[in-house]
Amino acid sequence: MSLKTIELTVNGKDVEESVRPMESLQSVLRDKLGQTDTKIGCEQGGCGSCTVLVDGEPVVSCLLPAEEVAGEEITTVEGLTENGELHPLQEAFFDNFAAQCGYCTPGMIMTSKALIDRNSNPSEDEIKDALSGNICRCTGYEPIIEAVDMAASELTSGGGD
Amino acid sequence: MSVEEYHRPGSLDEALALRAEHGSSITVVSGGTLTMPAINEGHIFPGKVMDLRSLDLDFVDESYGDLTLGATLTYSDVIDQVDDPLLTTAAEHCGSWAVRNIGTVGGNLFGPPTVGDFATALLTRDAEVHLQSEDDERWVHLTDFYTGPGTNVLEDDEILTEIRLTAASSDTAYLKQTRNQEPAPSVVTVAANVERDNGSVSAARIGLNGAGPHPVRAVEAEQIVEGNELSDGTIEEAADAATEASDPPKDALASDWYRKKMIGQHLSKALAQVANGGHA
Repeated sequence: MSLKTIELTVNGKDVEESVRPMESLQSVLRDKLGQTDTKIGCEQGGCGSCTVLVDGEPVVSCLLPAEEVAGEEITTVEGLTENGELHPLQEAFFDNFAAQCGYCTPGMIMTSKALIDRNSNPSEDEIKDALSGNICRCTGYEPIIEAVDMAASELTSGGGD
Repeated sequence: MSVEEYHRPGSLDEALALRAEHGSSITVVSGGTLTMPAINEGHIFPGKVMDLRSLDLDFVDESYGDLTLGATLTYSDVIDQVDDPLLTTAAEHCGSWAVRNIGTVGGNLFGPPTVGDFATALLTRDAEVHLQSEDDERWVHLTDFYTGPGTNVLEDDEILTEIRLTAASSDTAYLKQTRNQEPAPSVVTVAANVERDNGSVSAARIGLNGAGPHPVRAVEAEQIVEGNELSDGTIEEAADAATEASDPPKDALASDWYRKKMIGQHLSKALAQVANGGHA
């Protein structure tokens, strides 16, 4: 088995990393780049906890070989924070108690980011549909849906991003 | 043991050469949403993998009247680029948003028995698949592509490159039953594509997932509705015929007995939706 060096852009920063054949993006982010904000859940594409954005599109990073996204813009939840200021989505999750154990939260926030980037005023059904691949076993989902709605309102009224 | 070689050919010629050289010893992935989970789980240990995503097979071509979909077109691509309610509805049922951005229409044809939700829609459109090797190429009807649970006619030196479909009629329906709220695997999926002339069915294509070892056409039900109006009696007769002809798999999601019951139920609902002028 030979390692291959690839270039990635993670949260605006260019990095070079040696990857194993077909090594998942999740593995490279967490184990090699120390981006433990991206969580490991089922590793089957079923729980959404490893969701990151690739060129603005949500993907489950456990199913995507890192080599496939070389040269593309990868955003994890840490990349939403600017100059120490939380993104309105992060603020809204905090304010609504939308994170309990917090394990699903990075994936929830990244999918929500992709949603409100496309739809600045999503309905409750649209939020539920977008987040249907992100599983939470603490909150019962209601605080999460409210948080996304609040963040969308905040952003629409010119509150950030 | 992990993957030893990961090939990402940049041209179809290069991919076909790799396939010819390595045959069945190289695992071909399109989106990888079937292979990566199996690797992550430790169910398979492919020594060599070839990824088709750099071959520019993620295209939609309507230039010859038919619709042609490249094998590596993702479900999200279908939703965004294809103006066809039956296909976009089927694509919406193929996993979560973050999975639909990776999973592909070509890959869907290689799933285990209950993963063929897109293929179920393709069956209603007389789909053909293009199988290419270094020395030859052929078009195979999707109904002839499958040979059993997880098996097909693809030769060891071939790659499935594209899928060709006939145009949709205006009357279509697509219903998927799951145990949990979607995204979730199918218990039973029904797709219907029906042409009517003054109320009478002139042509019907019905695809079923969960009714056999792979997605199948409900030929018996199609024959019953063709030439007739979609009355309650005809629909019931067609549903009974599809139920009788089915040979469903049993797994952790559902027994074969339960699937058999649900095939008739959902086929009735789908045909009633068509009769009422609905579409997928």
